Amino acid sequence: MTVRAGALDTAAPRVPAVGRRRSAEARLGYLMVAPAVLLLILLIAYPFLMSLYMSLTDEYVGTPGRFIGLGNFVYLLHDDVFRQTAINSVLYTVVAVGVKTVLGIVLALLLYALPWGSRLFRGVILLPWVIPTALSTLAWWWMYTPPYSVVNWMLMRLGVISQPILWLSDPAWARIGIIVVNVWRGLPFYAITFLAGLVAIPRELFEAAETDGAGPLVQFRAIILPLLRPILSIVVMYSTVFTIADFEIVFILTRGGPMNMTHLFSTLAFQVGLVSTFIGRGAAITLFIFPVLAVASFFILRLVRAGEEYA
Amino acid sequence: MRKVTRRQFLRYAGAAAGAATAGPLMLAGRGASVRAAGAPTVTMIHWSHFVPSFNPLLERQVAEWGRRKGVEARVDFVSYADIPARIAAEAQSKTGHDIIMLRVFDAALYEGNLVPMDDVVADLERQWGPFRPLARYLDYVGGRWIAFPWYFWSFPCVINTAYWRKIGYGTENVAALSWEGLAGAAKQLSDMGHPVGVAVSQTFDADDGLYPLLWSYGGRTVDQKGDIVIDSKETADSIEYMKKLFPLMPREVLGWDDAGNNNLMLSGRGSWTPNPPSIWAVAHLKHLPIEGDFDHVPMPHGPRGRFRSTSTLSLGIWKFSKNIELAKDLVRYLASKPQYDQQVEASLGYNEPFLSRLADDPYWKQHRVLRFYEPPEETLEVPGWPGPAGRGAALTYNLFTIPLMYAKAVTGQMTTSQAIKWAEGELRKAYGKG
Repeated sequence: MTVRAGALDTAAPRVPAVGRRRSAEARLGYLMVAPAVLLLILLIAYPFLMSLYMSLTDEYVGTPGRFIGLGNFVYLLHDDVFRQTAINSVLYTVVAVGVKTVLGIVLALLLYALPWGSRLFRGVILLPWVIPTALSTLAWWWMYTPPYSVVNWMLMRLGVISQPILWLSDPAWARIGIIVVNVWRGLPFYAITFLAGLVAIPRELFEAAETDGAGPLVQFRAIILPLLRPILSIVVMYSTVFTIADFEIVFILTRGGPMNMTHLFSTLAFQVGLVSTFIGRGAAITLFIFPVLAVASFFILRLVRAGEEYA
Repeated sequence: MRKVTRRQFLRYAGAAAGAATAGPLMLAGRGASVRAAGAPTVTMIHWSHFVPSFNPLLERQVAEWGRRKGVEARVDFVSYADIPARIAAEAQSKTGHDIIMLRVFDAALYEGNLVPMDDVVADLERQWGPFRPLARYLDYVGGRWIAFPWYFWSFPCVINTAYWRKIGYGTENVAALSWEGLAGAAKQLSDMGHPVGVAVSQTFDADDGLYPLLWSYGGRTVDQKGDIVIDSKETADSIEYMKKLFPLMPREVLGWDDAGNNNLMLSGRGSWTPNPPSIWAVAHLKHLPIEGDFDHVPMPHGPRGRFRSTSTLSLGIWKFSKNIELAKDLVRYLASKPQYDQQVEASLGYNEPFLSRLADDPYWKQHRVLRFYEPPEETLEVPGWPGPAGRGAALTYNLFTIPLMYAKAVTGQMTTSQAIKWAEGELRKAYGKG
């Protein structure tokens, strides 16, 4: 049986006015998001695909490279400096994010419980987050560097130490030093976000708990923590991404030293890819961040879902 | 007030978003065409000189050349540590300045991206030459001059004469010291609370302080063919020596950046460090009382000679430059004797010329504190010598392989032989001999 096109046209149901309006709105919707999608493609997808391509070549800056497959990745897995950098990055991220989470909750609870001056304190604690990182890190460099280290001067005056700490020269102290700066800078974001979550918890829940005889610790464990869990998870995930990709703090304070003990993926990629001009290998180093972040995101998102079920 | 429906709002908002996105692009395009129609602008990138009085002079000279030629001319200053990344970014994106400063082996690294400068070099060598041998080693690549060797600065030792006098050493005695002699004096100076210091960290000053030690003991990273020769008794001897000197230095040498030894000396704590005259120059410009205590002496000698490391600055022109001939003219202008003499004076003698007749400048003779700086008594070399100029030497220099070798050994992280083996592995990777 053959059917004429005209017959099909007539057989098609008429699109009602409401449907046409919705279709026009859908088109307008696509149009509205198009600039954002375009920006995403230009600013994220293009550089990502370029670095993916470069990581598969032996390209040096200014000279075209040859395709070498996974050669750069295999090389890096056998490279002492890269392995040290991977350990540094994971250690830096886990410790910094962990400390920021704990201190962030403590600070949020303190701000929540403040009887007066809450707004003032909220404004003041945001300062480290608002000041440009490069500027504040330069101030930390000055505070750490001998012979002018005011941190050492203060600790010696307080009798905490008898000898100056080699903040940027001793491998262990240099690691602690960069983590301290990261925590100092990131803590306000954690505290303010957690505070917003705390404020959103209905007061009736605390009143009911108090009536039932629950103390502050039980209230924290049974009310605050479960209800904060979704916000907590999102903040931790967001912070993990930014902490593992950190650059300025290490670049200004130690440039990866002493003995490569503070190099992170981004600073090593900078040194190999731009300073030493091996841009193919530098690109491969940056791409190692992705699997680490994927694993972290997977576990954190699972935690979010668990929080939603609980809530 | 007129009511706006949701649909109207969406339309207006869409139009506004479109205008916001397209507007800047259209304006940027318009701006570019306006600029293209005007006079050319010749731009240059230069490091922010460690002797601050040099920067304004260079700005004035570049602007003056621009006025004479009827064009815009500008020099941008970037910190020395950021120069390699900046150059790499310009080479990769094929946009940026017309004239760039090139460090030690950059001419070999960026050969394919730079305009040959044979004509400029020939002109200037005819007028003020011949060049010191180092110039050809660095900038004559593949049978062509890829860059013009403008000036260099080298690393003798800065001493605080007041502390040395206290242990019975005049400047001439310090100038005659061997490395072993230095270690003996360093013990007394350390006991006085005025230690000696050489960076053993991931900074360029560490390269320039430690390569001469390696060379003077007879150690080399590579031979003339580029074969790796670091694993030798001579290298081991130099590391064993550094193990003796390290406990007499402040431990923070492991984390110093390029300002670390400057701070040691300017704070009045340090007694000896390898550095160009910028420490003295800063004290001089700021009228610090300590200025009178500073002097310069040659690097100590070892069993196989006395060496001094040098950092070099050559001028190159990108192939993507739209002002190649103008840029060459600016290079000629900056390198001619009237301008060069002013540069030496503004840098307080820090800038040393590659062209021998420019070195006739009386400045170094007039300033007693610089008598050991220019001309150098030591053998002048660059880290990477005596191997071929190129990527291997640049990678080893930029990744601080030699300072890391010493650091791993003196901190006990590795034994001497393990540290040498580690460095050998890194050198093989850098020189493609793995």
